[in-house]
Amino acid sequence: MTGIARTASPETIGETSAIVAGFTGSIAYIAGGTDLIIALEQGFRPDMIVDISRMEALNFVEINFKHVRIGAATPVSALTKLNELHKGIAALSQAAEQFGSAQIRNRATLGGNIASAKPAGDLLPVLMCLDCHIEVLCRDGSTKKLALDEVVTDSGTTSLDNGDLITAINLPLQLGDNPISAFGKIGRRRELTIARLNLTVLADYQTETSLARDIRIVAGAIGPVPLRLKCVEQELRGRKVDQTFADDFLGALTGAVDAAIPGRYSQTYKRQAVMGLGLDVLQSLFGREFSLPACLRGMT
Amino acid sequence: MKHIANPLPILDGHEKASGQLAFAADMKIAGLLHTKLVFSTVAHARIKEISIEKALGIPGVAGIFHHGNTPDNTYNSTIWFEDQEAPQDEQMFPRTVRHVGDRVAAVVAQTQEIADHAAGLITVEYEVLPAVFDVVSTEKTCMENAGSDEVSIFEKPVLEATFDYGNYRAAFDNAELIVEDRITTPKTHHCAIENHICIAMPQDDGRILIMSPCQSIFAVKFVAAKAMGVPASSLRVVKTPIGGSFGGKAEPVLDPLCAYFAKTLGQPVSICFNRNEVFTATRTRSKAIGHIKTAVDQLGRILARDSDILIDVGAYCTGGIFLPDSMAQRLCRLYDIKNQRYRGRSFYTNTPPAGAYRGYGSPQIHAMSEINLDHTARRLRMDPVEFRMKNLIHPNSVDPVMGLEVGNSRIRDCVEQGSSHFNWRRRWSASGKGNRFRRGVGMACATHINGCFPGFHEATTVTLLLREDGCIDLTCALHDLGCGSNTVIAQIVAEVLDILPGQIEFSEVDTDICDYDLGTRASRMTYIAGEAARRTAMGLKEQILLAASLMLNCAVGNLVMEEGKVSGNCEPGRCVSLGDLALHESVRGKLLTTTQTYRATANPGSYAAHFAEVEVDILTGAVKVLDYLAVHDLGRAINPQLVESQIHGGIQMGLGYALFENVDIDPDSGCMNADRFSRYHLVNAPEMPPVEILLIEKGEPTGPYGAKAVGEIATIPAAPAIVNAVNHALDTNLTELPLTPERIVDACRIP
Repeated sequence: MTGIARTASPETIGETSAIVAGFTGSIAYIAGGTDLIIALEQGFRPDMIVDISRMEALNFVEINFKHVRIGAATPVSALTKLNELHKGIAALSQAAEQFGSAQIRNRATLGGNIASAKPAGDLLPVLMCLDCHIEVLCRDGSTKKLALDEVVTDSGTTSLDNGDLITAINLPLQLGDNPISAFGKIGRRRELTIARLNLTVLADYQTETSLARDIRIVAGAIGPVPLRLKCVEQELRGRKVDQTFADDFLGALTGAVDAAIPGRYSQTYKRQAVMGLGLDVLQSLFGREFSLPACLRGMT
Repeated sequence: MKHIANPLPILDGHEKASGQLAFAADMKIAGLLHTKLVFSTVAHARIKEISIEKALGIPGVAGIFHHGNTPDNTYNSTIWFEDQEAPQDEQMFPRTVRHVGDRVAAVVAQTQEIADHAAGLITVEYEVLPAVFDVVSTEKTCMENAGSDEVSIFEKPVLEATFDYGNYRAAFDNAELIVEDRITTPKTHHCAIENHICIAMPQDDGRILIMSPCQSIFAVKFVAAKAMGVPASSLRVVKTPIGGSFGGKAEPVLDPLCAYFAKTLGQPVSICFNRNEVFTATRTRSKAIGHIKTAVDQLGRILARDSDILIDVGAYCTGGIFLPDSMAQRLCRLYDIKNQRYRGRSFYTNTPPAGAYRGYGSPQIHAMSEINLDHTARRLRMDPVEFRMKNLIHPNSVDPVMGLEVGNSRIRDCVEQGSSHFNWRRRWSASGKGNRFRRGVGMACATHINGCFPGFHEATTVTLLLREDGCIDLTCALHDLGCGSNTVIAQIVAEVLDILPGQIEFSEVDTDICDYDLGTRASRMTYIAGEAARRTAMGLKEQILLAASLMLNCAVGNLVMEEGKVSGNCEPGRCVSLGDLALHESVRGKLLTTTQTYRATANPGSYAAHFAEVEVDILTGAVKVLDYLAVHDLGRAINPQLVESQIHGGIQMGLGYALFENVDIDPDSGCMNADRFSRYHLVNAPEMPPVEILLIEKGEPTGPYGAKAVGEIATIPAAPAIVNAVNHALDTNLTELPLTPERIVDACRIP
């Protein structure tokens, strides 16, 4: 490979800071390399590549009642079992399970998925739905904490400055007494597939009364960045979870797709497909079956 | 039988799996130069100017080639013998580019990086011409141009093939039911693991040596000679191990260029395509649009059929001249139809050229006819299995168009045994309505050829030599594409001579060593090359017995050839090993060797019926294939393990054809949208259903040990079986392949 002036492979945060502090050229961090290697193949040439895959301080999962904190270089495969620790982040595990292929899950990292900012990045809608905070180490050694939509600003674009390093992701787990979450996606194939549409739902669910006291819904791959569906949330917040809830949820999802991609070629497909996705996510979230949406029941 | 019907692992499997086998890209050649091609970014244009000065100034650039400094000979890359006639419309670097991805220039340099960099500095000025991306438009233009002498060959039909027998008109007039469909099949791509590559170098004797993974060394030689304007005798071609082809490497795309560069620069040169280049600048499966009309009576007898097929060959003719005829051939070897008309026409478009691809027209024509037959059965309210059984041909039928016998065709057995094994009746009657997930079953039949008989040069020449170590040297231009044809041939020779398959050593596939051969095409390896090997081995056995008879002083009739030795019952215990016999003969100045040419005398059909069960999600349009049964009439399985692998691979390809695969040419720009694996979706392992295989082994009299082909037919019935299953599940008549989620959702649209 020609044209890479410098590479570095620090093992600690301190070393990293020392390497990037005085460097004025463009810096690219590499962890799993599942996106960067392809970019390099296609001619991307940063002035320096900093390999962070050897930094143990970036590869961890901390969990307690209040929050989950995950190192940015934690591989996606390490996220697949988190639901066993807290069902509020089941969506993250489900998204991790369906992420790429086994080989990609073993290499790709949570921080890398944020930095790549792909419209179809499966983890991004989950992180937005779970209201994550992203910890960033700046080139001058200072740190900042940002929300996902403050970092991912457009397709393939972040607000991060040259040399900024995502170090950790915080998930607060603060939605009421009983936060539960679920994720689903539609791709061309069952595995090794890029999402054409994905959906994350987080709810504060009171089991005894079947009430969804609070709800957050984020869709991916229907815009350049994950889209929070506030109008769908409004319609469902505080309601009893029953078939009418499901019908209204699916109807609202179709409306949200219509609003998000009006006139787009994929609109006619996605406005129907989102109902299938919505049903899958509801069933996973509440652990019960729902019937076909009302508008479909007549056509069988 | 010791070696026939033995599931022997592929002979070079270990070498491949352990990475020891050197493919062309692994070869280390001193002083090798590397190439980067510059491709057209527009679909149709005259090249006004190419600016190469900046690129020439890059240190390490050895040469830059374009239409201004290369031969402008026209050629057709589909030919496989020297004087074969085919429209000559290709050039190394045409002055007028005809598709996005057409060749504009090439940079040859000391390293790939330098070549890539320099190629990026070449600028091209185009005078853009009108481009056509759909074959229906070309057909219209051609009809308007008919009779005019002014138009170029690109504005005329490539070829029209027709047949017409019986009285289809009367049959249609009297029919109780006529079912008509317009069915389209997509332009698809081979996706072999190994990308296209070629290495060429000057030899000391002044000739150019071409080394490439190819399907016919002689095709490479004749195509390259034609393009370069040199005698074929000035070229030597050696086949390298091939990492998959499926027809994609049947036509020499890179070889003429590579040989010319090596000759001009006097140095070894390689051209190695990346995946994107393989997609856009090699070959595809032709897109086809068929109007099929079937007339039946109420009892389900097919009275007549009319097929009108438009074939999109893309920017260059290549094998487009054969497609209309090969499709025709398949249409009259499957069902007993007394009145039939066919018209197949191929036309140019400004899209990447079509070429050979597993099945050569069969997947297209069988998808069309089998989808239409299922539609007909639905309209008759008849079980599609029952409907087919009323119309399928019987063994030893004669096809009404070519007059060829179809041989011991066992398609009826395939359908009968398959439907019973699959519990077809029960599954077909079960209705999947009322749910989000709808289940359905589908089946399809198919036939394919065994070799090129009665066409060109359908013969194979094999030389066998018994060595002093008891092993056999086999010399023949055999192109094993990775599916194990060499293993099968070794099993056949081993069976005749009663030695081990591992004792047969295959020669280099080299135009200096091997006799002329068509190469691997037309499902001819087992049936033709296998029979040639069997007959040659019989000849060698005769010689061995004669020599042993003299040495052991025992009449040939009293000799037994067994486990690598010959023993006689004249003197108990007296025997000679094959190696010692060869040694004994060689000191007397004799070699135990024979060369025989086998010319085919028949072209029986291979047959198959595939059965599938699917589940369709009416909300997302996703299709899950739940269960699959493939029944094949292949005469006899020489190697059941390789047969199984061929069928599994064929199903994987056919499922993709039905549900996912399409290179997707942009209707405005002519660019290929699905020009990479993130956009071109192959069926991967999690998508594969459980596959069961049932073989009908009733023997083909003209095949080696009764065997006939399986390689191409394995993929042919898969796509229509899946489409028919989806239509059964949804009670729809979807006829545009692939059945993408969008197309399915369109058919299940919420009111």
